[in-house]
Amino acid sequence: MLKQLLILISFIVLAPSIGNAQIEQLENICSLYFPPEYITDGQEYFAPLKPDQKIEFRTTFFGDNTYRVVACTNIRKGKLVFSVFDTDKNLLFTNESFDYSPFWDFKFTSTVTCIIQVDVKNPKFIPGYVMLLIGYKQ
Amino acid sequence: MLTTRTIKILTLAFSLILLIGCKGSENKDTAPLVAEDSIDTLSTLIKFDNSVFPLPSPWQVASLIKKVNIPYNENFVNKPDKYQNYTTSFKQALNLGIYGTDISYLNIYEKIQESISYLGTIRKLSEELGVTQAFDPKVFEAVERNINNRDSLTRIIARAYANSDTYLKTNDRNDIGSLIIAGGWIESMYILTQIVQTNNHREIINRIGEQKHPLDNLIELLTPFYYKSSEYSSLIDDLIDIAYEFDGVIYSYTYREPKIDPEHNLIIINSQSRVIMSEYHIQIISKKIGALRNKIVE
Repeated sequence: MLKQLLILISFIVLAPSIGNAQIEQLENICSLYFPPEYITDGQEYFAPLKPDQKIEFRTTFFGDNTYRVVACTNIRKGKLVFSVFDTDKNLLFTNESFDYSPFWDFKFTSTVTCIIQVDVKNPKFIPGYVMLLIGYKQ
Repeated sequence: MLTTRTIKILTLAFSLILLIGCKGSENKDTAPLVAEDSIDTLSTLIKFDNSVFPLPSPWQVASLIKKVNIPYNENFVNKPDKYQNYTTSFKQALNLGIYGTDISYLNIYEKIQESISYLGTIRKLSEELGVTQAFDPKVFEAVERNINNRDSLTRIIARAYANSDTYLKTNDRNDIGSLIIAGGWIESMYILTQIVQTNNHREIINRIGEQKHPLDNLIELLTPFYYKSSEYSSLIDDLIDIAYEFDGVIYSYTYREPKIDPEHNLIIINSQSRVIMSEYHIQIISKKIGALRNKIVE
């Protein structure tokens, strides 16, 4: 009983700093796929994973630009899937077809608003974070 | 039954929690917090507070201006010494976003001395807002080293803004982060709408018209803070008013099969969109953006 209580208390006390550490760790992982010729949009997008839930991001990509999308997770062994749809729900791209590549470049000939879905494929749920970085090519 | 030893351990543990809690409330900048999310209970998708991308980022607008070769106009940017007028965190955050766009604008015209001055202003505002971690001395040293390299400067500044965004999100200060983004977007729109007053460049007009969805995203980003204060509600109301004008912009979209180049990890999105914007809408949106922007910088 006491042991369980102490574990619970430790979790409450330490969980926030674990969260921050995980985000820092994620930044380091994602940055590997973000070369200097890509300029970040000034934001970093991260979210904790929940069982049986996908994470959705929405963005507008502007015409005559090439963007790099990087999606990464700190869950080891988990396969991160990111898929890009237009607002009519047409699938434009999924990294599932390309060996779960953590990054892909998107060349837009015209401006398109997209929905990006991120999910981690794992036989059983493991808590962790996902991060998405978007940058345009200078 | 709990033994005396157990009670002592529990008392110590709970005191520790209380101590950490009190410390956190004293100084919010140091309060550790896990990124927030708000679960959409109607579906299995998580849509969390920072899930929107109110593009174009200031750096992208600067790139477009550079591409269409429009002369520099010093009246488009906010004066750097005005930061002293901004005494509330609301105004400081919005103007930190505005100065971020301004420095990108200056950078494309290689206005080095002016950029240094704006950088000083950005540093002061970031100190006031407690986001010095993002704009730490290393950032300024990197800027000094790359002062003659326009592309590197853009990259360093964009990185610093991204770091501040992450810092604010992880420290439960999404309101401030959202205001910085809003300021950046408003100033980008202000510069674009000022440019079209004298240059009817099609690409610039299209870029203004394409802001319909990003503006909706921006409003969605700010809406959770609507009742935080009258300043927030007034800002959101002004943006909603502008969004109504955007309803008059005709936007069409046609899906076309994309082309994949797996060898280069590249996909070419061939879908096409088209914007039709009347002169009336260009002028009314320009007027309303100008009024909002001037209210923020005054």
